[in-house]
Amino acid sequence: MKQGHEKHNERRARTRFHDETGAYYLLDNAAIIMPAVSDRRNTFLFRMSATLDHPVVLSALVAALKRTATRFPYFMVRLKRGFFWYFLLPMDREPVPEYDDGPPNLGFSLKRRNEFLFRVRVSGRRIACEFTHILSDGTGCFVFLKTLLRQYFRELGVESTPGPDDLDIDAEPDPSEYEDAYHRFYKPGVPTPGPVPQAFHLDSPLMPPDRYRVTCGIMPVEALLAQAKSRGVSLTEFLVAVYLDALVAIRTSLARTGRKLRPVVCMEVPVNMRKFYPTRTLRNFSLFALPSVDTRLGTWTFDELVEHVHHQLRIEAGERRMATQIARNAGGSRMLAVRLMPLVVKDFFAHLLFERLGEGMMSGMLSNLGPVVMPPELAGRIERFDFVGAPSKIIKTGASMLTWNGNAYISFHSMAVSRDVERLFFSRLASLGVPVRVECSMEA
Amino acid sequence: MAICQKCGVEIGEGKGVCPLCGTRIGEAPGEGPQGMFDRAASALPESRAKRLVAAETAGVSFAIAAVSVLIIDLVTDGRVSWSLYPLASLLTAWFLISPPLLWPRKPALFLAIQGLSVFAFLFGLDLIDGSLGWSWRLGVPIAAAAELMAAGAAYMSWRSKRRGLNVLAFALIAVAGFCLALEGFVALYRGGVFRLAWSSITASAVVPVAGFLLYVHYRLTKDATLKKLFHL
Repeated sequence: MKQGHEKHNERRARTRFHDETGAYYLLDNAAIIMPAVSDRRNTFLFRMSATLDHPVVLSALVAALKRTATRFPYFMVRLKRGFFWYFLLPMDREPVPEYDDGPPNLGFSLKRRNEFLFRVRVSGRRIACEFTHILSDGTGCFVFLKTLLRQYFRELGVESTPGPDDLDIDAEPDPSEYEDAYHRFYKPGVPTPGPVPQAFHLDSPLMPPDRYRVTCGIMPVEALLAQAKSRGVSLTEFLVAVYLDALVAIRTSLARTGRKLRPVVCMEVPVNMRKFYPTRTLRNFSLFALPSVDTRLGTWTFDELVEHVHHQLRIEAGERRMATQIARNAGGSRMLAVRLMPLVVKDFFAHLLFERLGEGMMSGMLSNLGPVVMPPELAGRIERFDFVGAPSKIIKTGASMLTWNGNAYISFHSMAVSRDVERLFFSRLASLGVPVRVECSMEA
Repeated sequence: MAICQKCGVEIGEGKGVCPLCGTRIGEAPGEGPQGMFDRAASALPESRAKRLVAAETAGVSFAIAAVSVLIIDLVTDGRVSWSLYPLASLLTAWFLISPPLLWPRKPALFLAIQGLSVFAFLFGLDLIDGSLGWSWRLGVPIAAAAELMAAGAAYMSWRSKRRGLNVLAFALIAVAGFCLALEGFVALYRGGVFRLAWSSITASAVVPVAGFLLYVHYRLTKDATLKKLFHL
């Protein structure tokens, strides 16, 4: 027997509606703020790509994308503005691949009319999916990319056995795939998280708005795991500590010049909520933990930082702490006063919230998608995967990573002129004996 | 694979420079950029440098033109007379062109400078005539009305998520407003009374058209049903 709040949650988790002109979708709770705060730099676009062992056969990709689009109708939408909320309208045309010739995750505006909120780009041996966070998070985008790849190889005559997490392309889309899981798992009475101080931000000027630098470090995952295990921490905890160490070093260097800087250096570590809650949603369903150090407490050695991050993440990234964030985010949007507020007013407050409760709290970010698993028939045909995070004007530089075929691919994405974070991060790994190979989209 | 001596990382085939620190492969670590911040961090972004060059070029070109005009006036008339008009025009042109190049991210600032420079130009022309007369009572109010209406229409169009017939509607409303201001200020200048005649007829014809265009744009668009627009 379902309790009253569970029934209410189910109603609120529904995102697909109908009227006389057809279907439309509501944005999930994480996405509602994004249209208001997006601009030429903050595109909210992130990218996942696969590099094949052969040049992409365009005709097969076009056919695969057309077929895949029918499996994901909730991604084939455009953004529209309502009086109280933004909503998503189905597109009346099919997506087609674009030539991948510009910088990743840029040159895309949410304000464009009648355009998809994702794009598939192709160049040489690479197929890339760039999604706005309005549609989905990394998990959803990766499921789409995997489905597209499986269909692409099927077009080329290579059948594959679907894994437990793969979607059946011939099945009908399930409503649970586009539910708003934040609302579904909202628990009334759970307290909201306490205030978090504003964090130190990189001082570097930004590059021109049409430039976005990706610096990818490739290294054996075994070597990284050996470093993490020798300290008794997980891979993510270890890498977050390396990143935090780089940020603290930059802040210390700046502080010597007499500049007044915020004392707290804080990392954003996205947490996939699907590991805590039983949902199949491919909309956004991730929150974040914020491991941080206060530089007023003195100098931190690297080993101290690793231990500190380890304990913080164990507490911060737990289900109960995450429930407080759901209580704040989903609870806030349920308030009648908020719902009745015209969108123009909501947009104004969205800017304040984004700066205060969003990127203002963090100095950097590291998103770990984890190990990529592909059907065995396809694994040998894919050379590598890459994951590039969304641009940010405030934190300027961030990192995204995944592991594939025994290698870790850590991609720093940056709008900052300075490359100090990347340099200090990879230098630290190299100094610990991890063989790091670095590729960069822009010459130094 | 080559290894950067400074960062300790491996660089891709055919790369002569470390993408992290800029050290040339084969160079000693000390030869690369020093300290915490790399060389690129202190460099001006390319587009900003181009804008500064454009502003400087405009300034130097106008200065050359101004000096030439001044010299011709002095040589032909033996004093500064008619050249004051082209000098005022050149100065105003510089104030219109340079601010967007110097402060492209501060539209409020450069639009304010541009707006004020038009007023200053009108005052200047009036002063060259001998005394302040028409500029204060006629030129400046009309220019202010024109700027205000154009700015209002541009702002509303810029704020629009979807542009189409609504832009035309904003322009029509701005034209109606300008007509009212124009007739009013001319009447005030001539007879001392702000009186409206033809402009009110113009406005009463134009504003309903603009309203209809706005209705068509925002309401009759295919997908904009009330259920969607007002979904709570």
